[in-house]
This record gives sequence, C-alpha cells and structure tokens, in this order.
Amino acid sequence: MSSIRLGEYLVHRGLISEVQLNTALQHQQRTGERLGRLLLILGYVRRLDLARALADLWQLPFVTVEQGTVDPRVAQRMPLEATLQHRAVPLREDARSVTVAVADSPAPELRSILEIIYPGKAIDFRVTTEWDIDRAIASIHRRKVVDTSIYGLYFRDQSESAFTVFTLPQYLTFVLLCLVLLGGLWLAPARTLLFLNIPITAFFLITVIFRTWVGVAGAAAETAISISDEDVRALDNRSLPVYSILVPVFMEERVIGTLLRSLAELDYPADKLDIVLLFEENDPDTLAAAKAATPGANVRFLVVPGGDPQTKPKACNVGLLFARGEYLVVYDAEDQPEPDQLKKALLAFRRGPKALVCVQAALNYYNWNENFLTRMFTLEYSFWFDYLLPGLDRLGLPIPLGGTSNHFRTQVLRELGGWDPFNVTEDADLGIRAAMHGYRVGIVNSTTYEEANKQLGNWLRQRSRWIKGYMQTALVFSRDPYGLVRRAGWKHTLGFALLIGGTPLIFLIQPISVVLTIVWLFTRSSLLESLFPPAVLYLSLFNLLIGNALAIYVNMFAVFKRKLHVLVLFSLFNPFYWVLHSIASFKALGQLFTKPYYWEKTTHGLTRHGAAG
Amino acid sequence: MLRQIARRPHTAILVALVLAVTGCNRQQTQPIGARAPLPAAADSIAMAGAATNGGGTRSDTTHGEQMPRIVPGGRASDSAALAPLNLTFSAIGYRSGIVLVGTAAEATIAIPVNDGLRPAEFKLRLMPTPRMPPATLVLRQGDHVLALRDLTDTMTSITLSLADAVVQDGKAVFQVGLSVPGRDRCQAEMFYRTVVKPESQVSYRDMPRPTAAVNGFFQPWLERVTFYMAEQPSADAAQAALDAAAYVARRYRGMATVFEVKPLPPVGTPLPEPGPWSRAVVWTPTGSTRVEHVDNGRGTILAIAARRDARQLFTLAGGADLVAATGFRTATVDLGHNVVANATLRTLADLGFDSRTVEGNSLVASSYPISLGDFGTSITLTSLRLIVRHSILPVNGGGSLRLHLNGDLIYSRTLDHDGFDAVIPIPAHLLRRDNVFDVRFQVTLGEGGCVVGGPVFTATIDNASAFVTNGTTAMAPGFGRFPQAFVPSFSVLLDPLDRFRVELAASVVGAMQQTTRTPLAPALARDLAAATGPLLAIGTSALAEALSAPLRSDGVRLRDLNGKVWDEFAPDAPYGAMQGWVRNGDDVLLLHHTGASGQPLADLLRETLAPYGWFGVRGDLAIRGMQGPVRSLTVANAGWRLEAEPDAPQNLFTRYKNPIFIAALVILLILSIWLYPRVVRRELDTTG
Repeated sequence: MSSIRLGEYLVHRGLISEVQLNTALQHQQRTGERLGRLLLILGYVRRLDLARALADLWQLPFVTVEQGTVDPRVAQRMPLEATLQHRAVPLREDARSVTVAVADSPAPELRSILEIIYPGKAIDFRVTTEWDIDRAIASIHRRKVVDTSIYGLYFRDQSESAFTVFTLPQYLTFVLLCLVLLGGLWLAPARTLLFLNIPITAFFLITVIFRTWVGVAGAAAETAISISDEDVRALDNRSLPVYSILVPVFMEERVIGTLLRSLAELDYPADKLDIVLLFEENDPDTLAAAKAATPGANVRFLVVPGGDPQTKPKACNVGLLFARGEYLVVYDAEDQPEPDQLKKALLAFRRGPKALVCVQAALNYYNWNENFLTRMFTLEYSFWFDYLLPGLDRLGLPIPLGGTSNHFRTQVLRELGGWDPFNVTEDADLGIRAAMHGYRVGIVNSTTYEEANKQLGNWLRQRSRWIKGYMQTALVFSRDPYGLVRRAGWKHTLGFALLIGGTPLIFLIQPISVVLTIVWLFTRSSLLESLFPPAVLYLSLFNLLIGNALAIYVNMFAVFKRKLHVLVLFSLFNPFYWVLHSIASFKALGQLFTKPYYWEKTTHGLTRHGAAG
Repeated sequence: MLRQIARRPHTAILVALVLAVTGCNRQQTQPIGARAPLPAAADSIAMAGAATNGGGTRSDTTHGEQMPRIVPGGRASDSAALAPLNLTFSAIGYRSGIVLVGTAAEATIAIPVNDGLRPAEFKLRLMPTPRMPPATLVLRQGDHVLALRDLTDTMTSITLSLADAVVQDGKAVFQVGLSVPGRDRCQAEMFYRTVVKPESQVSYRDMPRPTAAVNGFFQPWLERVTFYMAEQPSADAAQAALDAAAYVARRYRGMATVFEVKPLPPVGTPLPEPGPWSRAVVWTPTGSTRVEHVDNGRGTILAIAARRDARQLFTLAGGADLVAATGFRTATVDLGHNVVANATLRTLADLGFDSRTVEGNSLVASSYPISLGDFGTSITLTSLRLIVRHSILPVNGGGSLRLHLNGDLIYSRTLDHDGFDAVIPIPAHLLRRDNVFDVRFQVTLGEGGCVVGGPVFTATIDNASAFVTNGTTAMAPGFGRFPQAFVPSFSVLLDPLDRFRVELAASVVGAMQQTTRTPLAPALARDLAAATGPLLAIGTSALAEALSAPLRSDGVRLRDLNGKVWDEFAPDAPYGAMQGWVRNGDDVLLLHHTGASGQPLADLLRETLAPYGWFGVRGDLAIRGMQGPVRSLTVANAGWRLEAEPDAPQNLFTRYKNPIFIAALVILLILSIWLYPRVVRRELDTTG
C-alpha cells in the first residue's frame, strides 16, 4: 500500500488538503518517515481518522478497543513480548476465527505467530489506533507488566537486584563487626577507637587522592570527546533512528507544560521521536495537566499500573516495555535538555565502541543563582558532570549514571534487565551494572538543565535518597567481592568501591571528624590526643588542610568551565555544604534499614526562574 | 585534720599560743626562716596536760601504746648472732672502696668498734695494677706500724692483723699505704692504681658488751634499728620516730644501717629481744625511758616514755659523741645547733672537714663532697676562698692547681712560692644538690726529681677555706631543692596519722639526712593549718587536693611535647606519687596515693630510694601504679604535661560501664533479629 495512495485517499475524503499533503511529502523527503505518522505529527489529521483511513486502504474493518471488547483470556494467550513487538491485541475468538486488533499493516510474521498460538483458527484482523493498542496491552497484561517492571531484574538475576538489602553473609558480617566494635569499646576503648581511627584516616586520604586524580583526568578530558555543532549539522535526518524519550512524572502537574515545551524544542525529527509520558495510576492531576497541555502526536501517555514499590525505575521499566525507539533517553519532568542533545548522543553512540551502551549528558541547573543552596548544588553538579564523570570515562572506570539524560541502546538496556525498581538510585546502579557486564558508559558534551533544589527540606529528601541508593548499589555489588573482581577486574572494583561505597561512607564519617576537630579547637581536650598518635595526626592534618583545600580547589575550577565565575567564592563554603550531605547520609542510613525502597519524592517547580538561557 | 581542729578550738588556740610564744623566743636568737617551723614546735604537740616523767614531758597516748612483754626470743639464734662479726668496707661507708695511687700512696680507714669488741684483722680484696713491680703494703696507726706485707700484681687478697690496734671513742683509725719501688715516681702516679675493693672485710673478736645505759645504746656499728609504735600512734610517737630516723641516718651516715618502723606486737604477744647488732626502740608512754634488760640480756631494747626524752636523745648536738662518750642528760635541750645561720661565709671546718694534706709526685687530688643542704635553705654558693699551703717546687719544676666542680673545670692557676689564698667564683649553673669539688695539683718536679728519695710535693688544704654564700636559690623547684629546703627545720604533715605514713616519712627523712651534714629537724604538724614553712606531706588524694598539688586528680595522663602518652592512670587505677613544688613561697614535698591501698606509694618510695638513697632522686615527680616501674621525671618547664583524666564523666561511665555495654549488646541483638526479615529474608509481594 503506497503512501501516495494514503495521501490521496485522505485528500479525497477531505481529511487533509492538497497543501498539507504536499507539506507532509516534503517532510517525508527529508526524514524518510511514513506519511501517516508525519501527518499525525504535523497535526493535519486526527489519529482516529487516520486509523479509519488505513483500515479502508488495507480493506480491513476498523475497531475501537474499549473496555469489554477484549476477552482477556484470549488476549493473554499471546505473550506480552510478541504483543508489544507487533502491536497486536487478540480481542476475541469463536469456533472458527480469532479477531486481532492491529495499528499497522499485519506482517506475515505476525500471522505466523498467531497461527501457532491459535491453531486452526482463521485470523480476522481489525485496525485501531496505536493508543488503543497500548492501552489494551497495559490493561490485559497488567499483571505481567507489573511483574516485569518490578521483578524483571530480580527474576533474571537476584544477585543484581536490591530487593534483598543485605545478603545473609553481608548481614552476619555487619552484625559481627558491630559486636567486635562493641566488645572493643568495652574492653579497650582507647585502643579500639585508635584502631578505628587509623583506617578511617587512611580512607579519607585515599578518597582525597582518588577524587583529585579523577578530577584532574576529567580536566584533561574536557575537550577530548566533544561533538561539535558541525558534526550535528552534518547528520542526515533520514538516517536518524526512532528515539524514545521516557519521562516518568509523578505529581508534576506544575511543570508538565514546561516539560512538553522543552521536548518540543528538541532538534530531532518529531516524527522520529517516541515520547512516552509515564503517569502513576494514583496521580490523575498530572495526567489531566498533560492532556490540557495538548501534546504533539508523538507523545504517548502510559499509565503505570500500581503496585509497590512505586518508584521511578519501575515506571521506566514499564516505559521500556513499550518503547519503540532504537535509542532511548530518560528525562525528568523538570528537565530542559539542550536541543541538539539527542543528535549528539546518537553521534557518540555511532563513534563509540560497540560496547558503549549508554551516553550520559551533563546536568546543570538553570536556577543556579536562586539562593545559597542552588549555588552550592550547581558547584557540585559542575564538578560531578564536567570533571568527575569525564575523568572516570577517561580512566575507564565505572560511571554511575546521573538521574536523567542518560541515553541507551534500547535493546542492550532490555538485555541488561532495565532499571532496578528497588534501588532508589537506579541510574547509578545501572551504570555500574553495565560496567560489570563489560559495557561502557560514555559522556557527551551536552547539558540538560534542571531545577536545583532551593528548599533545604526538599534538598535533604532528595539527597538522602541518592545516598541511600549509593548504599544499596554498594551492597548489591559487594555481595560477591571475589566474583566482582573476577568479572570486572581490580581497577573497576576499586573505582566502584571508592566512588559508590566511599561517597556515603565519607559523609557518614565526616561529622565525627568535624565534631572532634571543633571539640579540640575549643577545649584542647587531651582526650582526643590518644586517638591521634603522630603518624595518624599528620595524616589527619593532611586530610583536614590539604584534602579539604583540594576538594574546594577542584570545585572551583569546575566553575570556570561553566563560566559561572561568581560562584568561585562559594566554593569556600563547601565544608558547610558537606555537613548537609552528612545529615542526609544519616537519614539515608536509617532508611536503608527501615524503608529501603522508599522513594523520597523531590518536589519540582519551586523555582521562580525560567529555563536556561 | 582540719575538721578535728574545728571541733576542738581550744586545742587549736593552745597550739597557736605555744607556737607564738616559742616562736617569739626563737626569733630573738635564731636567724631562721620566718615561716620555718620552730624546733620547739615538735614539743608543743605534747604540751597539753604536760607532766614530767623520767625527766621528760609525759606524752599523749593512744590505744595500743603499751610496752609489750620482752622475751629473750633472740637467744636461740645467739650462736649465729654472736659469731665473730665481719663487716664489709661497703657496709661501714666505703662503698666505692679505696684507691691507692702512685708509688707512695696512703689512705685512711676508720672502722666502728662496738663496746666489748676488738678489731681482729683486715681481709683486703685487692685489684692491683697489672705488671706492677712488687710493692709493700703498710698498715699503721699514726707512727705505729701494725703490718707490712709484700704485694705483687697477681695478689687479689691479703690479710692484715689488727691485734695491736688502738680503739678510741668507738672507732679505730688506720692508714693503709702502698710503696712501689723502681719506677719513675712522676710516671708512677699515672700508672699505678691499687684498689681496695668494697668487698674487703674487717673482722672483730671478743663479745659485745651488753648495753647498760641509754648513752651506750647506739653502738658505733648497728645493722638495724627498729622503731616500734602503735598502728595508730600518738603524735609524740610519730615525732620521736622521725627524729630517730634522722638521728640514725646521721649517726650511721654512709653505713648500711637500716632504720624501720614496725607496729607494736598485739597485746599479749611478746616482743623478742633483738640480736646484738640490732636495736629496738619502743615508744611506750607508760613507765620511764630506759634500756630494757631481760634476764641479764644484752640491752638492745630502748623504751622511750616521753617526747622530750626522745628529742634529747635524737636531736642533741653532737649526737654521735653523746652516744659513745657522754652521759644521758635529762635537761631540756636547745635545738639551736640545728639551725644553720644564714651566714655569708661557711668554712670547710664548719662543714665538718679537717685540713687535708696531700702528697705526690705528679698528680695529687682531694675531693670535697658538698651538699647544698649543708648550707641551709635558700642559699647558694657564689665563690670559694681556697687557702692552700704547699711545698716549694724545685728550681726546674713547675706545677698548677685545678679546681673542678662536678667534673667541670672552674679554676686553674700556676703554683709558685709556697701557697696561695684565692677567691674563686663558682658558676651557679654547675651547682647541683649534691656536689663534688675536686682540688687537683699537677706538678713537675724537674730533672732528677722523680727518683726515689727526690722531693715530694706536699700541699695542705686549710679547713679555714670557706664558701661564700648568698640568699638565693640555685635549684629549680623539685626534688633537687631537698633537703636544702628542709634546713633548718620543716613541718611534717601525715594525713591520716598512722604508722604506715610515719614509716614513709621516716624513710624520706633518713634518706635526706644521708645527703647532708646538717641535722634535719622535722616538726610534726597536727593539720595543714598548723604546718608552716617547708612541708613534707604524706597522705591521700584529699591531702593533694588540699595542698593544690600539681598532680592531685585520681586519674592522670602523662604526655610529652609530641602528645604521646607515656603513662596513664585511670581514675580507678590507684597510683602513688611523690612531687615537689613551691606552694605559697615554701617548698612542699608531697607523697600521696590514690585508692584505698598505700602499697603503690610504699613501693614507689622503696624503688625510688634504691639503691642510692636520696642521692639518686631527680626531677620533680615520681609516679608508680600498682605495677611498676617508677616514672621519675621533671615536669615543670620540661615539656611534660600532667593531665587530669576527667573525673565525673569517666567515673560515671566507669561506674555504669558494664550495664551500658550489656544494654548496648542486648539492643544490638534485638535489632539484628528484628531487622533480619526486613533487610535479608524478604518475601516477594506478588499481589500486584
């Protein structure tokens, strides 16, 4: 069935004009996309009219898939994977035939599959819209979708899922260490504290050296893997694959409009964008706000079936099931990616090795100068995404993905098991998991602007979730240390331990050091001196003076790249900012034991600022 | 103690009155420190209700100060005790032996001879110079040669008979000379060193005569003096013990005589009579002061019934002479002899030295051990007026004098004519508590002068030579100030007053007395308010607190400049400590212990004084826990820090340590069990 005929038919039916047809055909010349989809994207034709027209052209009956039109027992006999692959939903059967709803012209492969599933039955195809198909799949396979999105990774490999917070050996080791510590404090408190202080001090030192090393490597890598505007312009739109954009939204009614506008500004053929907004069942307000924003035809609404845990990774897993793109990216509701980000990511994939499974874009804040907290947050993000992650990339160390703007090869992501819904930093976990499976995670020189937390309580909730997620990730990948070393090698293992395990540990330990320092400064108490024999004292002093200075310094030069020079002085306030991290860390530690999967929701839309310039 | 005074104000008033009266009397005649306790203060303790008995003042008594029944218990061992007495040179004061230098060296040996004994022989253990020519050893008393023996370089012992020795005033004085012929005499002094080792012995014959009277009680040689008192003694008994300790140290200075304080045997338990070389002094206010004789025994027990008798016996001027030669006088004794005047000039004669004559051909020397304590408190030496007469040097000869202080050269001059009288400045920084002044003559006799029969250089150091002093203190606060700070007298505060603390105080006083010729005059104070001037205090933490001692906390940590902890005593870990510092302008020597047991303090003192007595005590702090060793160090201005371990929190924690940890353990276990199904063995929720 040629597209000319579809266009002519639509003109003939008066559904579009000649001019609109010509415009769509010109678009088709540039992008190579199918005419029907182009017409939808251009808004020339309604989805329902298009489906009816296609039904006429394919000489198939049209059907509206609604509640009651589908016999779940019949539909569920077709596996979810096949249903999703062919976008076909068996509706009902009788003695002679089975009625199947499709949104596309039925391929022979689909017919073969159906004949196997429903042997001896004639296949009676009906045409419907994609939306009806997706809605029907989500409804019919609800249980399977929920199970897959929640337990998919767990059933695939329990050892990689954070469903079990501690394994038995880990737990016994933890309890044993607590007992040994308690016994030590009982029998020889001074010596025990000293022996505790020595590894802590050494760990501080190693962390300082490691972070500086990675930061310097990141500075050297600053211009190494950038993709230029010329490269982007040179891309032929016809060669672009379909790109899925997953946007999990929950209670984001305030920012959903901004989000849709940002996505509409993306420099990528709209007809090749598969934007999937993932709503929670218990969040009708956001869904209503999204509908009110009248998104384009390339935006799909997907309601994630309820069920604990109600987390972002679970929603993303549902989105992954329904994603049609060859590549996939996850954005948060408040994100404002740079327009050319998808193309840059695509070029990075094409230029990168085959093992490159994910490309991480930098994150930064458009409301960086709103208050002290947003300034500090911006400083931190600038160092993290502009120096640390590029440094890790350059050194070939595992990269913990940032919360959003991570671009994947969809198929490899499915092979990896998607996101862990029990891990509250599913992105960091996925990055490490990819590295442990031999995949690479790269960094691309594009930025997504987000909204920095401006409220302390909100910031603490968000940060405690991140740190708890790091703890979960550290626990997951340290379940079999020998196996980890065998699979990933010493370098990856140490990088993982220092970054993922070390980050929460540093923040947990830091307040103790700060308190000890303050106590000593004000009281000159000799009680502390037994904890700091000369060697330890010198190391601690090094950590205190040089270590902190280095951390502040690298934080400073991160700002220069962003040309946010006014923030340089704020680098000096980092020690105070780290105290907030410590508070969040202790909260995270408590939740790790009491509410390990609880998703501390970050409220967005609090800023008074607009999008980045 | 303070509370006792508060409860008995009349006693306090009386004590104050007596102190004031006696103090006024003394001030007219005695140039002592204004705050030093007056010697008579010791008497005042027993003044209340005074009545004479046996010529003395009746003492206050406490329960248990009853004269025990004496039994001749020691007789069974008399056969051993009365075996011929052999004393090593070390035991009678020659702890380093005697060195005979050159070809015509001579040294003096004085030996104690108890009543009834006669010297029998010297058994000399020798260490002659290898390849020394055969020499002649001469033993004489004045011009009376007692023995002549050949001595070769291979002989290690020689026995010399003392059959004809003359004993005078309880001692026999001998000169031992060595003549080595056949070598250049000037070189000889460089090469020949014959050492009479301290293991050499003197043996006695005959039997010791039983002591008949008090004035013969302390014989020239005694092995041990034991002072018996009640466990809770009266103040007079304690004062008498302290005086006795100082007396014994003076009387037997340099000797191995042991002084100890022991408890009286329980009521009904007899006290065995000591052997002939020991003495027991029993404080018993009942009866009179007397030497006890049991079954015509040897009279080795002295019962002292009155404080004044004790003072007379133990503190009278020339105590040594008293015992050996004079009678026991019952008159009140003036302790003024103990008071060292703040004179600006102290001759060697004042310090107890005779004029000394030395002879030799090349190098001759004489040493003067000088303790600052010999000069009185707050006095230092600024210069020495040295008066020397010497033989005229031959025409081609020459000579020089060098004066060394503690090994450092402080003066030298060429010898000319026949003597000199020079005033030599003494560098203050070289002075120590115990000093040695070495006067060394180096002479060259010229051609032909070194042959046998040639001229012999002779020099006499006149004991009119004198130290010029001033009223400053050379020593930094600390142990180095003692016993100088305790001269002429000092207060002793024992809190609580018991035999244990009296024994410790007696040990300190005895050890200090060994280092100085100046008699020490301890004055027991009833309480802190009554203690004036320099103070020897022995007690517990409460006393340290009352004195605001540098170290007074129950828990303490000793840390160096680098912050390293060298020693640590938790509040519940008892320790004993000795510390010296200046409080309100007066030196204080405090011995105290934490915890209930005083054992760490007793061990500390014993180990600190061993083996050199007070000579070996340095620094300003010595501390010892239940387990040794003793840490002796200088804390003040020396980089050490004494840090009190926090009492309240640590004590609180220590007190509840076990319950706290048990509770923590229980909580940990409960949490572990409670959390297990939540974080380890979770059930899948597939209700979806």
